[in-house]
Amino acid sequence: MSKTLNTAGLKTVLNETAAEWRTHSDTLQQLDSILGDGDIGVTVDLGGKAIIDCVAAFADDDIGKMLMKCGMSVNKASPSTFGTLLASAFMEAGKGLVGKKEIDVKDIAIAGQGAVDGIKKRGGAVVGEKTMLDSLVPAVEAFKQALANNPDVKGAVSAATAAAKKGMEDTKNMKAKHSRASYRPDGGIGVQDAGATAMYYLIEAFGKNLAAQIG
Amino acid sequence: MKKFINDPYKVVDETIAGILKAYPYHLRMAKESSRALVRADAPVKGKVAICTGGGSGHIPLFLGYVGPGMLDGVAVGNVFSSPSADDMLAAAKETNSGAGVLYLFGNYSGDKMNFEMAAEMAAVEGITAKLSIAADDVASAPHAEKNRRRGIAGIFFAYKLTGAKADTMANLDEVKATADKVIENTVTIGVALSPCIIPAVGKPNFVIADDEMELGMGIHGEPGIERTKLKTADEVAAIMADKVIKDLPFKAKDEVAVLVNGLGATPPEELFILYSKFYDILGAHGIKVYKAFIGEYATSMEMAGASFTLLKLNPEFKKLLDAPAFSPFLPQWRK
Repeated sequence: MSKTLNTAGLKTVLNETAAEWRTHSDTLQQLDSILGDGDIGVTVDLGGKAIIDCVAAFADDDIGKMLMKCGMSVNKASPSTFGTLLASAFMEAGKGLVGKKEIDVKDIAIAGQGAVDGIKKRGGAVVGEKTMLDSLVPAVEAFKQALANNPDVKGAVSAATAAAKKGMEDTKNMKAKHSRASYRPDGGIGVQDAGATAMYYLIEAFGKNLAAQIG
Repeated sequence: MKKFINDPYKVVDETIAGILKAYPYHLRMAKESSRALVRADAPVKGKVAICTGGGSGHIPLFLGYVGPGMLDGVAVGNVFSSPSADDMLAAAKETNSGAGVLYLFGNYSGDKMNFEMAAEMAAVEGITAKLSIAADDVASAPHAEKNRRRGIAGIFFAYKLTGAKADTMANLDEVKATADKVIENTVTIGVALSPCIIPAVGKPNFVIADDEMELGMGIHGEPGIERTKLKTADEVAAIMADKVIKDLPFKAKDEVAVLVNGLGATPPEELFILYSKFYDILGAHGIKVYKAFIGEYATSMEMAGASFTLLKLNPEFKKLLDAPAFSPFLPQWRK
């Protein structure tokens, strides 16, 4: 039986994850200014801070509600396209865990799938269109796949992180179908997507901190 | 950057502060958000509330259309960025009288996602909210992909007619149907001559040579259809009119409302020079001008340029267009 994570443990994971994620904001700002308007870096900075503030202020112990509250805070702090999609991911992930005070790896997989569904529903994109889904979807699939074979958290995390990295790198060869890049005749081919990159950094940091808690 | 500002990051809040000091009889801040403004007399009993929202930098869009006969509330974003769903929800809560809320806004991905989220949050609070999305910019997508088009100055007609419809105490579905039908019959094209500066960025949002113009450029500097040498007003008007007329298409015997909108730095004189040619071209097509609106209706701060909008009218639309409305931002508005 694998270890479980209570509300306090998840707060630590989210807090550390957001802090690490924010350190990438300058890199992301530069990357996003090639095809977008450069606001993904700002969103990562403000959105990361909103997550840190939200978990610190959350007094209840319902994990689902905490994730939904984080989504609202991210949206309020940065209602950019990326910020709003990230907020939708948190809100949909939270919906699946409402009422839980303790979660295990299977719940993490449910939340991951919720995040995918939330982003797809709100943004209307699918895999292969040069968006944050291109790193998130392979990561969630790899995580679920790894757990089906072996309930080892560390193994599942490293499979998910590797899949996210490959998905992120693959966006270089994709043509954008959404956002500003889609108005370019070349669709941004040759440039790695800033949204997919920001999502990779988030997955990397989350996986590392999750493994540290229950690995 | 030569601007009357104190702090680039406080531009929006300081603008709102000035507006509330100037027009306290007209607008007030919502209780739950400093980025939501509503009619001073909101909620209006029994009436469907119409709320909008969008990024700042486009006055009189969006907040200038709040007022009797038009909109009830507005969510105010940072310069060129969507407001949050929370701000949109605050506007709905403050203006809903029980008849429901129509969110009427321009087609941009950030705004769309946030309004969708706000409508879901409103439902949780027991408020029925529906969406109508203006997409009038002919240059941003072909006719077959009309729902991908960006929303620009033509949203003025949707605000005016939908606001008048709501004043008849029509229900939410009827009000939304009017908005959608106006949007369907509105076509706009813009031409940009010079860029604007987002205060927090500090440099122009695009580069264009002194002797060039860009046909179809969006109001945030989104790429247009083509960049050419600057032409005479009559030549520019002919190109713009052609794109708009062919799109719907507008035909002989149609009656239309015309909007010639300045983007911020173009003087009204030039808008009238353009209008004179538009009028003649419409006449040559047998299209009758019912009413013309010339001035600043949707700007991009100090961007130079203009847009041309046609709305195809029917008897109901004419009545709605002529119904009374007021906002201190539209002194040129007359019945």
